[in-house]
Amino acid sequence: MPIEVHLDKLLTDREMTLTELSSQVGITLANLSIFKTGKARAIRFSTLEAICEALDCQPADLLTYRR
Amino acid sequence: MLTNLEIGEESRYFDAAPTVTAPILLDREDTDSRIVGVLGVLSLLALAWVALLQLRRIVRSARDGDPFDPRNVARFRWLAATVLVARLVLEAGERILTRTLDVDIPVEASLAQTGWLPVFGAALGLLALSEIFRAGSELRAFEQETV
Repeated sequence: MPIEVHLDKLLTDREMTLTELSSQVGITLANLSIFKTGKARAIRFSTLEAICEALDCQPADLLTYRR
Repeated sequence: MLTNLEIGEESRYFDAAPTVTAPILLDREDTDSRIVGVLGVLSLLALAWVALLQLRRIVRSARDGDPFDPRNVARFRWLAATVLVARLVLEAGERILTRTLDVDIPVEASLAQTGWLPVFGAALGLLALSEIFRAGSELRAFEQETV
């Protein structure tokens, strides 16, 4: 998939686990895992907003596009 | 009133041979027709069983809260095929019985209560439903993979 998700790196930098992020943003662990592994087909703006707020980052830190 | 009309003498009294619609009881010695009848009934029962099985699975998936299960797409297509095959079985039965019936006068067996048009309509309706469920199951899959 050309869209790369850098959630792993951001979690490591913030010393946060996926479970902690899940409880903060109100997304299930399963869904976050789907997102982290790049298997998600789409992401809602509300989810993106919640993750960026929890990780104090920009969407561009989370997602990049590679041809 | 015309009585005791001899077979073959219809043309003396009618411009065209009159047709009479009547049920025929199969003679015990007419084994060919009886075999055809039994095979036809067994075929239709088998098709009815297949159709009921598919319907039951569709209803169960809806009752379980997940009607847009991708397997329902194939189930609706099977139902459409079953409807068409059942009509084909009746058509084949009519043609075979017309040949095997052991009667002295020309007969044409008629088993189907409807023509082909309603059957095609029903099959198309079921295929349309399968397409609706296919779109629904794709939307469901997309929703499941949306975070």
